[in-house]
Amino acid sequence: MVDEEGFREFVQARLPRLSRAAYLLAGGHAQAEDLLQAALIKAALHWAKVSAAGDPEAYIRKILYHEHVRTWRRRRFLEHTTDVLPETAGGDETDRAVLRLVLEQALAKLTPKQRAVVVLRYFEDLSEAVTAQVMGTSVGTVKSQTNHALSRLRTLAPELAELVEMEVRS
Amino acid sequence: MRRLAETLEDVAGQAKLYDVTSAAVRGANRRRRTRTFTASALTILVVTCVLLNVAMFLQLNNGGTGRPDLGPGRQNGEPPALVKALLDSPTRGSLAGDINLQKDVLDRIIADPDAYGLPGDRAKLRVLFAGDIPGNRRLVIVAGATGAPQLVNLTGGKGAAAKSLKLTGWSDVDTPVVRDDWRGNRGDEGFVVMFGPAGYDLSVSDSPRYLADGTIKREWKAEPAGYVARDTKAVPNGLRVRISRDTTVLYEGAVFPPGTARRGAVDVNPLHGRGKPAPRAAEYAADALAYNTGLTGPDIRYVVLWSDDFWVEDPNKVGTGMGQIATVMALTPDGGGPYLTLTTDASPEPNSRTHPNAAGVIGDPEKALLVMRLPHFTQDPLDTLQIVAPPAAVRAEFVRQGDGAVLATTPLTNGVGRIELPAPVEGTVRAFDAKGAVVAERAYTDAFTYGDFSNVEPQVRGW
Repeated sequence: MVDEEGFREFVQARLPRLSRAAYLLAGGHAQAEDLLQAALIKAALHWAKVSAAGDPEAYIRKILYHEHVRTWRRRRFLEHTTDVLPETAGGDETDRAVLRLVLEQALAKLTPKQRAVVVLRYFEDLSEAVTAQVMGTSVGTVKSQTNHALSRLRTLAPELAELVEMEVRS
Repeated sequence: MRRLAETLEDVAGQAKLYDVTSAAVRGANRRRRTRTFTASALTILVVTCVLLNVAMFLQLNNGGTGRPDLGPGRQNGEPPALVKALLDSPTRGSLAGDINLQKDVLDRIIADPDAYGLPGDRAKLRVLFAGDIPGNRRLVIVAGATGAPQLVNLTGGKGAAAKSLKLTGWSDVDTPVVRDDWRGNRGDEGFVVMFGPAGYDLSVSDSPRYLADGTIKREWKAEPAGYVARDTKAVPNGLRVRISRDTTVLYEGAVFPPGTARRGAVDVNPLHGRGKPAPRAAEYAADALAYNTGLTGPDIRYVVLWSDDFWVEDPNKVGTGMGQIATVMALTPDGGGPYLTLTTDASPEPNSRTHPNAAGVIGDPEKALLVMRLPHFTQDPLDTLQIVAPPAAVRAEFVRQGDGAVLATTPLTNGVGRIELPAPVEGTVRAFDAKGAVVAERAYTDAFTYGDFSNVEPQVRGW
């Protein structure tokens, strides 16, 4: 049997962060729930080994990423650059809401790997080397995917050029 | 100014608590039991796989777990004036004359309009594009001529019948130009389709020449078909698309190349001893330049215009320490070329960071004057402006726009120096030789582009 108590304790402690990461990767509540559930089931299955290794969060992050890419490969959305960009007038809170909306729309138009690299690098704040480990790829690929993703974000929404300026690492 | 990470947090703040722990535990226990009770579990597994396959099939055939938006204006109302001409334009594409295909597609939509987010009234449906496009794909774009128009993409293999086309994308119609720019998981996989309203000419230009005087020379070729459909792999360097009527440009923008690996070495020693060698940053910058512009090969020389050590104070603490900075130019046979500045931090596996406003195009590097704000790893831009001037220059000054006041001056060593001026500033930088003669000058403003090559030649939107 799975070490239910230990697993539950870990997940409950980390659920808010895991939920947020899943939402960013998946882009919707239903998809995020499915994604997180699929990842946690895999983690639970190997929980003894995962917890003994000492970094269960890294393990779950890796599963989340691979589940995300696997799921999205079936979706094959086309990307468009013709989305509505909200008016940018208003106070700070309005600007903040607008930026959030613009970023959310732009993220939805990235490829799964581009979206994942943005989340891993700038939301999870992982280094390029750790991101490469999670993605199972080379640092060079992380660099190029990041470069692609940020270029796409700027192309999709020029407003994001200012937004990303503090975080850009090509 | 907000950071990407902060706004990602805002987006993530919409997440709910997806409390799926019990399901996870149940799933794990169920899987555990499969090892003990092989026979019964195998049955469950088969059923599960069948169900999963059905789910995958349904998902694939309906464009994924999402669906086009419904809501006010999707079914009725008059289209906004901005997009009316586009919606009233005849069908584009190689299958524009295939009435049967288009009728079959519309029949599908009319049978279940909500699934497409489109009106069920045939009179309000518009086939904007129908064609076989590069990459052995068939693409049909259908829009609703309504108050809040939406378009959908139906795609399949080349030659696919209407019933075999899959709903693979959708978006609002809110500009007079359709730009379908799809990239797959591999960098070079995808296509771009672009067109505008009837009555406008469409022309393309690629492989620009970067001249020694700093200008860019382009030759534009008309696309008589009135649309562009390219395989990403076949996008040439510097491709731009222009949609215009007479001398009025409705839209002009870049189509990005698939990404090219650099060939050939970069001489990491900066020209005229400007700064000191920074091989790691120089290599990274040359790679990034080749990747973004596609400029590589035996006739392209990668030269370091300036490089130096650079202290990095990384708020994440992963790269704090002495890093490097380098401005590298892809020098073309015409004497000019694009350039880019890149910083690396002190990590063993260094993170690199593009520069806020040190990417663009210059002419002869012997005569060029570069002015850039140094990169920052914290919230606010630095106060420091880096000047890279012709080697004969010994002094530089910053003259404010408007009143002509000299805000700062600095001595130059081998043409290199720095000025402290908090952003934002706008004015002219002049470089003088030992006799006091101006050897170079250029306008400067704190418009940050962060190495975005779409801003080398700005996008034009005439609406």
